[in-house]
Amino acid sequence: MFGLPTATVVIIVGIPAIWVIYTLVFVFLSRGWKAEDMAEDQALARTANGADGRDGGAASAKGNGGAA
Amino acid sequence: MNIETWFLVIYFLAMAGIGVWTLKIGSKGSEGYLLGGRSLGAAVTALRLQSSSMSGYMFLGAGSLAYTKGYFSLWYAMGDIGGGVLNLSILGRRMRKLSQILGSLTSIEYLEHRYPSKWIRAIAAPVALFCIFFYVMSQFIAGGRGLEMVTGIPYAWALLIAVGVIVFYTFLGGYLAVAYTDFVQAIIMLIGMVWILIGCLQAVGGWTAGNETVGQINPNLLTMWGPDGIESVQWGVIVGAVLVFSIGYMGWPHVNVSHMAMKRPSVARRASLYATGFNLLFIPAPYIVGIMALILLPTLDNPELAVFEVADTVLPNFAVGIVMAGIMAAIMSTADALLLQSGTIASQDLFQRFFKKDMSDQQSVWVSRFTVLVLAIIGYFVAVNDPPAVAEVVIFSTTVLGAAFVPVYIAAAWWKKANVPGAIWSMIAGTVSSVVWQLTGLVDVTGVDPMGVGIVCSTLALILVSLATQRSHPVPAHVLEAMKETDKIGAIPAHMLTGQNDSLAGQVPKDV
Repeated sequence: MFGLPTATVVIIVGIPAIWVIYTLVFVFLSRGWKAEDMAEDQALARTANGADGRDGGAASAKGNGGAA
Repeated sequence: MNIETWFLVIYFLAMAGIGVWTLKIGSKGSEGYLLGGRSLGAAVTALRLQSSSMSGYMFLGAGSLAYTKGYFSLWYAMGDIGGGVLNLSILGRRMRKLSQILGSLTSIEYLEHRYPSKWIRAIAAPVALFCIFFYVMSQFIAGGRGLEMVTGIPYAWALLIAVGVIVFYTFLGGYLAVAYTDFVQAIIMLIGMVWILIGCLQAVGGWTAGNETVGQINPNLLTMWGPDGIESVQWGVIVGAVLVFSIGYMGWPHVNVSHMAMKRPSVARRASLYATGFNLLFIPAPYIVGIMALILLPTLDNPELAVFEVADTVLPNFAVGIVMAGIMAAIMSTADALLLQSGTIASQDLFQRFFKKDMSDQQSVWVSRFTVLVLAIIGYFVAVNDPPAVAEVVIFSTTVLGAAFVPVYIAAAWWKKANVPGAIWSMIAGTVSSVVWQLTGLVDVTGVDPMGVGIVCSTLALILVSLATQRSHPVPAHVLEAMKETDKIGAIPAHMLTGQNDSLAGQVPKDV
């Protein structure tokens, strides 16, 4: 195929295919990470509404560790 | 001025413009300058990570390797394609979260916070600075050669212009300038490289026809075993080739800092999709162009110029200008990241840590800028007087970085028993073994790549020394607590966001 030996085709198509599968599996398995964003949003909203962050005030969306 | 030069002038002005645009944010203290205020989203994170790790190697080294070794060279691409997703999936979220809890602003400082000892930084900073200097010098050389070829300007002047533009926007805007220019440059690189590939394949009558012609020159060039056939294959070198650009990424401080600058820990998830997509489109292209250059330019004196020369041969003038901007983009996006990282190491990890602890944020930014300038000047003079081969320098410096730092970065995020003595001996073992293996010619004797040897030595040292010294050097409670918090999926409690940095701690909502 493509004028190349079979072993070359298998390697140059097969290994990238493994990386694609790895990426998709990672994205699937990490779908729960959205919960982290929602928790941060809630904590930020609480901070913005005057709560004192007692129940787990969070990093700001900008990540610099405080109320935006 | 020819049309190619005009494209390059416009491109340089655009990059400098981004530097000026980000000046305001970049000047707001250390976190603004060094981490862009931890504000970057998935696309910028992924493409910054990829473009800063691709470098001029992709346009000079990769083409050269392919021109001389045929499809064997694609082993490097095979590892490289997965480098981004590996890094993001293994380190991304955890490093972002842990660095924020520990209050770390640089990727070397992060190591000291995770393994609390001044010796961590005293060893890591010089090793990183040394490797990064050589790496950045190779990018200067690549930039100078590229510019010389397009414009016809003598190498010394071309080099000066390339260095000047890179230093200008790094100097101005810091991390944010570097991140946004890298993002734009990644897109330009992709367009440029795909354009060369299409033009090249059209010129040789298609991929299949091109391969058949290459096979007539030497059928072994079409195999993955090298031009001398499977009898001469060095499996250790193949394993090393795959390792250098897949696992190796996780040991590069200038790449890992991308994780720390993410807007949120979860950014790593979507960034992995962008990274793999970009890599699939971009990475194989220069290798295939290098192989096809055997047909288009069979008597090329300097194989490092294979991709440049193919572009010049197969593309119309206006396209060459855009493509050359892409090539300069690859070079500059790595050089700026490296320069910023070396400035950071000098200001934060050496000067402030060991000489002037009460340095203000503003002073720290200026020390970083001064270091960028000094390194650029030294790099320029070395590169202009006795330029070594780009591929050799890149592979040497990235191998040492990978061997020294991969285990300590991975264990920092994942292994709660990894302690200070383990980390110190891991970095020493990785650095010494990879340098000795490379300089004493053991690669040729044994057929084993220094990256593989270095990673094995540094990993074994980390595991064995950490386990042997658990009682005498236990991991501190605050680090264990931070790692436990990193395990959890959820917002970081306010009381944990009291890192050593005053400007960070001052903004933290108090958890009373």
